[in-house]
Amino acid sequence: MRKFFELIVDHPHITIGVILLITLGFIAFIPRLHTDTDFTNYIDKTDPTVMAMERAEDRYGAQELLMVAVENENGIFNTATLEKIERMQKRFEAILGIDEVTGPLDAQVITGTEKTLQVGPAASGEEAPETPEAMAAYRERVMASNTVRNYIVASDGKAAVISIKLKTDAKEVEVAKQIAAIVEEYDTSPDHMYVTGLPYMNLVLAESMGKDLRILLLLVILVVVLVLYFSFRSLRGVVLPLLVVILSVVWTLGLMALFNVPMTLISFILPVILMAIGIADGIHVLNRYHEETAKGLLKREAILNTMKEMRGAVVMTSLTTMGGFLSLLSSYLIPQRQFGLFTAAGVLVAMILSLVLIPALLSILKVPKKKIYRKDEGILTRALSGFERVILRHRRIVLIVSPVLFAVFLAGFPLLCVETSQLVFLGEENPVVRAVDVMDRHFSGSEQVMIEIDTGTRDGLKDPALLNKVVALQEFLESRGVKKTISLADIVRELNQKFHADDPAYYVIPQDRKLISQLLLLFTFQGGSLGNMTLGDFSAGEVMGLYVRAGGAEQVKLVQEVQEYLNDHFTGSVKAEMVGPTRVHSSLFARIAKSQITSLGASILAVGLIVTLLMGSIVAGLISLIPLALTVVINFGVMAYSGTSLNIATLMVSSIAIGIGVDYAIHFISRFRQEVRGGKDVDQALQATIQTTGRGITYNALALALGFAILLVSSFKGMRDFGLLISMTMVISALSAFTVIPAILVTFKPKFLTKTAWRKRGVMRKVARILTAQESSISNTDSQEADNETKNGQ
Amino acid sequence: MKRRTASRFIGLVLLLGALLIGTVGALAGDLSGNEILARVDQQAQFLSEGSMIVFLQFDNQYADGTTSGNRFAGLSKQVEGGAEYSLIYFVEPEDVSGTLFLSVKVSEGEDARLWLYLPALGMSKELVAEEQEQSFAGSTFSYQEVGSREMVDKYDAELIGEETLTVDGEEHAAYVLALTAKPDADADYPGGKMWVDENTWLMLKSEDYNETGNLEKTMEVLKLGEFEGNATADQIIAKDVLEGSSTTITFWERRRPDEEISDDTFDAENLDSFDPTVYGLID
Repeated sequence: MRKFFELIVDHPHITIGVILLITLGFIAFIPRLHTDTDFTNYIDKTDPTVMAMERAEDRYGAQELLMVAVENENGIFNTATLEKIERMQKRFEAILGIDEVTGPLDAQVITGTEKTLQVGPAASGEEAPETPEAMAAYRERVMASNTVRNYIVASDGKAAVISIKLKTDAKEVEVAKQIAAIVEEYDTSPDHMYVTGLPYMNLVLAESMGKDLRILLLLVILVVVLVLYFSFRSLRGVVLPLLVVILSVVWTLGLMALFNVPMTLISFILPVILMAIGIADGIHVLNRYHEETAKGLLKREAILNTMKEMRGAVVMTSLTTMGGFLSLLSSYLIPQRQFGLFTAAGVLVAMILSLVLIPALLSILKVPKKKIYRKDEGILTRALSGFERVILRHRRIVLIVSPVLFAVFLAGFPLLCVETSQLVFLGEENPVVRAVDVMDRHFSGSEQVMIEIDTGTRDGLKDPALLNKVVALQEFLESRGVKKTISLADIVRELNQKFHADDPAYYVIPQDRKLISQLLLLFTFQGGSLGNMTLGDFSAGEVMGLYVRAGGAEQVKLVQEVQEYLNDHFTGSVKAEMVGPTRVHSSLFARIAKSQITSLGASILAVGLIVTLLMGSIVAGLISLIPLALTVVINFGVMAYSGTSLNIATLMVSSIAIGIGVDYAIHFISRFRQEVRGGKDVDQALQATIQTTGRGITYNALALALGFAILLVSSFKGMRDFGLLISMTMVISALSAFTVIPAILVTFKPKFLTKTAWRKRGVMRKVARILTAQESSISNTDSQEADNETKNGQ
Repeated sequence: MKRRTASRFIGLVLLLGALLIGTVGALAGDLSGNEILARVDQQAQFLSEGSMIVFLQFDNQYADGTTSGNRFAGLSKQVEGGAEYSLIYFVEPEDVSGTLFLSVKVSEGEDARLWLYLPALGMSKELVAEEQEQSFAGSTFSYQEVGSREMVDKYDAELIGEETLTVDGEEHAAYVLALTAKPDADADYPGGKMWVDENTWLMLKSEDYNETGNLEKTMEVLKLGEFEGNATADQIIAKDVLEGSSTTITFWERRRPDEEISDDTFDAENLDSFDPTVYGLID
């Protein structure tokens, strides 16, 4: 290994040149990086719910509509408001990628008298009525229509909606951007305009992600610079580690672009996270180099000594951190898997660059002239020593309080709520969420339930018995909180009533199949649009329902109840299945808990294994996991008691916290064991540990907590929750390492402290030797730091 | 919202049956685009006065991949003074067989009145059309697609070249016109292209471009025939390019009845007693 570092130190320009070339290569790929905010892409395409939705999209077109709500407290039945709607709608229709636009003026209304029947747009000429009489007649037509009232125009008359269906191959975000720009022009008092629907949400998410990333990156760079400045008080101390993390981010983003992996709601914070956690390697290496030069060594020897002593520590801490992120590969959600994999890759890059680029750069820079002096270290050490003495004196209390805390927070678990909705992730103050609230307030809701009825035979939907079953299904849906349902059965009933002089007694499904066919022929030949209600050959169609925004648990319940109903009532050759986003959300919700357990399990297993191998002791591995277990339980407990939901971001907190937090336990136990084996009694060993490793852990935890806390300024509530929780877990896991671990070690004095556990031969012994060497390097680094501090304090 | 209504297709049925007829042996000469378009419109007026019976079929291919088909028979009559009558009788599918659409336009310049008869109820209703454009008989769709005298009113045509089109295995020399909607004209599309047979003035092919400049609809003659010594389009395919749907219209037969169709046949009061066998619409 020394030869490798000699090669780097002796050929720094080549090393830097190669890194520069690779970096330029990755930079070239970065423009290809794209964003993906569509939640349906977050699940494998083989998932039955996604397959059902995609099949439905192929047959019926987009399953999610873009909607523009127009709200006027004085009512929308005035010429000025309706003219705005008319003008907006015409402009929407001219946008490329729009399939169909329906609004309050052109929605199809059926009216019937004794002698006449009319199927036509709600407003004459699809234009805003201009006289009071015409307005009154228009209002009457709209309010009398079962398919328009409460669906296109609110039953209180204070809002209307323009429903926009996109072509399946439309560039959704581009279309949504054009729609939003048009809406903004017309959003003038007393009319208020709101855009909602998945395509618009995706636009807002993409824009917010970009804005967030710019702000968060600036802040994290600022924090990193401050941390580096206070650590080294020199330009090189700031620039070298900063360069490492910036290049790590560039390489990682380049890798994502190379593998066509998009930026998602999760991975967009990858650069921020990587900068926060990747800085540690650079700090450790540079710190050590300063110590070596302070000994008076020549530059080359100082660098080689640094790399010899530091490589093990850097590799091991990076591996455990990677382990935490890689555990996300077991997640059900694709963005989490991508985030885990590429953050781990980023950590690996940061590790490699710390071990390669820093020594290369150091070898072309001059040796620092003076010893870096850090006054605050003495204060910190004294504070930590005092704290540790208290813990030692009251260790039995620690051993009692910790399980009690564990139990108290564990008891909150039943209160944990899972939330898969993007709206919750966005937060209540987001314009998309406010638009949804308007839809919920004035209409039947904004969430859609789609059920496909497939008879498998041409004209199968025209069967009176089947249509009556559909009516019963709609009644069932409405009994389960779905506020408005629409199906072919509604059209048939309405036509039947209108054809019979608008007699309400005829708002039923005719028992004559031929009459149904003829009524539908009339409707379609008069320009009526059946949209998703049927395929062209009437073999299959969709029943659509609207409901007010509900939590994940309610969605799961609704989906289960509906599917049970469908299984019981639609048998034989007729197939009925829920399709669309509600079912996908429900599936996501149901799998998230499982996904969480799998990720956590994988994380604990991976980290526990690494620690066991490193320590050469299963007991040591288990003890290292105790503060992590406490951290994880407190994290979930805090979420449960504070009502913070488990969402696509907060789900990852525990797995990541384990990967990063275990470093504290490793450092602490390793050093403590080294001191004990060195002949010190437990009290002395503890003091030595706290004075050396304790200080490093404190700096590390605070830097990470501060780095993650930057996420508190994110525009996404889900990301703010994530930032707060992960910052909290950084502090808790460090505190646990300072309290629980010493209390256990001092009280139980486990054998691994004094005995070498590895007795195996062959490969395992070799692994043990390597790991022991790495452990030694970690301890030696800490020891050296302690010596320096002692010198500094004198 | 512009809807491609089926009623427009019904309007198209009758108009196509009568209008897609070209005079063989027409003279070309050095004509401008607008003059050629005017000739197409003039040929549209070839609709002979008197009675006519047309048999045809629609085969729909929907964007969702499904298909459907309808067979109709249409009776039409045009009398001096501009009165126009038409009656569509649905032959297939069986569950709508016997359904009737009646259109009566008493005099030129008036809107047509429409009635629907549903055999399942034995009841007829007058269909109140919201606007003439979308109504059954006065469809501008048909005029726009197949060419009519209104084309000259709505579009400026520029002769942009000549091409040879192969229709039904035979080559036809055709003028290629670029159409641009006239300002304030009520045209469905802002522009388009049209291929006109140089010998018969029959429109062989058309393309409609929407506001965003994208091709939205096409129409193409697939089979040519002859009626009373004139060329006719016997099979046409109309495609909605953006939607991905199409309708193929096949004319099985055009014929004159042995004697003029009586006005009573086009009386709304008599729809429930209409006998299709009288005109040989069904066996």
